[in-house]
Amino acid sequence: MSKTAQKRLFKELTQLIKDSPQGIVAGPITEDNLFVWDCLISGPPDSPYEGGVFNARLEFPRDYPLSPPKLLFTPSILHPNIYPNGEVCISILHSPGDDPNMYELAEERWSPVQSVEKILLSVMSMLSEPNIESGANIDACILWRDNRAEFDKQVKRSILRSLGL
Amino acid sequence: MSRKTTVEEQISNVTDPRDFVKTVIPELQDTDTLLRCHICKDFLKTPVLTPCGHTFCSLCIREYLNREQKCPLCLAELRESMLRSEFLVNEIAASYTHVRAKLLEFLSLEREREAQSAGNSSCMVIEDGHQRNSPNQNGEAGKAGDGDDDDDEIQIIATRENRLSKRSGDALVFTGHKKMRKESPGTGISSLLAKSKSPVPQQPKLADCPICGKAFPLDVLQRTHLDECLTTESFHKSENISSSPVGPKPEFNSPPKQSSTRNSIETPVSTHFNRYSESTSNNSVTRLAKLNFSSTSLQQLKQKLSSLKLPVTGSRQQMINRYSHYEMLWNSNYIDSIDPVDESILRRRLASWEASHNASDGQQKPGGISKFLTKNPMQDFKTDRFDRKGWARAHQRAFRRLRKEAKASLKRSKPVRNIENTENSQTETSSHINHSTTIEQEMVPSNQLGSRNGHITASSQSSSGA
Repeated sequence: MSKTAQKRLFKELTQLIKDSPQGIVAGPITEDNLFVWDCLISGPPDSPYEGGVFNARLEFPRDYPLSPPKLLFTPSILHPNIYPNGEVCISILHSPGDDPNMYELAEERWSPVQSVEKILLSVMSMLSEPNIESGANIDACILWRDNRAEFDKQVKRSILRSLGL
Repeated sequence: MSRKTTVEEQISNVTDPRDFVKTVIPELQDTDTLLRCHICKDFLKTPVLTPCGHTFCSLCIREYLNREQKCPLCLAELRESMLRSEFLVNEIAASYTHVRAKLLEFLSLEREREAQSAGNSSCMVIEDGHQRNSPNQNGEAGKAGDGDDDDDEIQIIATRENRLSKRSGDALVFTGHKKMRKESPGTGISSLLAKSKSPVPQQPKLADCPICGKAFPLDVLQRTHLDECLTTESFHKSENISSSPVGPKPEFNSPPKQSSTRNSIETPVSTHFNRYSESTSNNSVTRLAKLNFSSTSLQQLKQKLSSLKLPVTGSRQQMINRYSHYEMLWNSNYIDSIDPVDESILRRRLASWEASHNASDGQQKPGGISKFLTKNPMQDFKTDRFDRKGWARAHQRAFRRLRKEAKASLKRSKPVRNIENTENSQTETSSHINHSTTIEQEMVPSNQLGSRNGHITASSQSSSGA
């Protein structure tokens, strides 16, 4: 398909294979399609998500890197910035043109100089520090703000369930 | 695109700055990264400079600016007209990519030798200045036995003169071999120089100068020419790094078999510099303007496209895409490139781009250049856009065969058919070429041929397989 996108994805894959940040594994699901990646993200320490390993799917558009990829947690996890369908809502995944919430700073948004590695690192930091001002999952936002203990408990329970314990 | 190789194989072909991490000069990782475009992550191709001081590939940034008029790095406002070409960076990147593989190979080899000599202290000695063998190589590498000589290596790149003396000096210091100590630095140099002589053993008195590549009598080379050459070179270097001595360096003391590639390496060392010093801005061809598509009629758009010798097929949106992409290719080529290519090459690039990009987004099938590259070229065979003559010509042989088979099968079926009907369909078969194409492609009999039964359909199937 798109040569530029494919070449660039290859570069990023090589880079991730040679030197991936701690707690992150990512790569294309099949050899035939470089535009869909599977990622494993481990929950950052000192967060409710510690100890969990979360599976996510990265979907790249054909005009990557001009447009940002989409990131979906499969299955979805309870988090103020993750929609119930698993879609992650963070500024780095929004191109500067579309700002659904009219609050994001331009410099935090997607530009071709960003990379898969930076996205996944942002997701890690999103897990440690939810941003409830741009909530995607309102229930999770309220729970996180008003009843942190219950929030932590629910997250822990789902982690244990996902690990089959 | 059809990909023949596996992902793993392709990955092994992808260059990455981290390739240098495991060499003796890991700092080169930085250089490698700096020479890459932030958008495509590949080495800069026709780099352009933004007013905010950032450099990208011309095509990458132009494509980005078509949707977002900001610098992707610092988000400062940026328009296409503000871009300036950077011929120097272009040549630096080009000369670097040219030597990169050799540099990497050499530096990894060096590391291996380092590891070897660290474990195995039996360093052999240069027995004879004119005779080279692998122990000699090991002896040379022996100096690199200490890990802290990265700085030495960098200096070596900086000037060869320095390198030569340093190298033999190192040999004296690091490898505590008595025999080695007996070697005077002068012998070291001559042995190194002798090495470069090896590709031409028939003329033992001549040696190639490692800097300019010209052959000189060994004597002259050692006494005067080398100094002259180095002086001229450092003068060049102050103007342009692309003529840096990095080029010949890798093969300089690599195994003799590689010295045969000397001449092919030496030439580009100066070509990049020459190209840069002779480069002029391109004023002969004008910038292709952006069109305001909302106020451009379809007719105007078609006119504009055909004046550029581009196809005027497809939907309005496809024509707009076609123009925009061509405008980008054009401006990148004629305004930014140090070495512009011909228009016909630009059109070919446009065609290959259309095949993968301009077809997928529109509901309508693309026309023009990419028509025959897409899956269903028969899409618009009923409209005026379909090139009937061209199609008939392209499939002449298949049609002829089809007609022959049809006639044969008609003869066979004559007894059971009424004659009028047979004649009718026979004339139709020969006159309605385009309808037989329908059969051939889609295997659905068209109206005129519908009256006939299995015979024709079967024969057309066999002919479509041809």
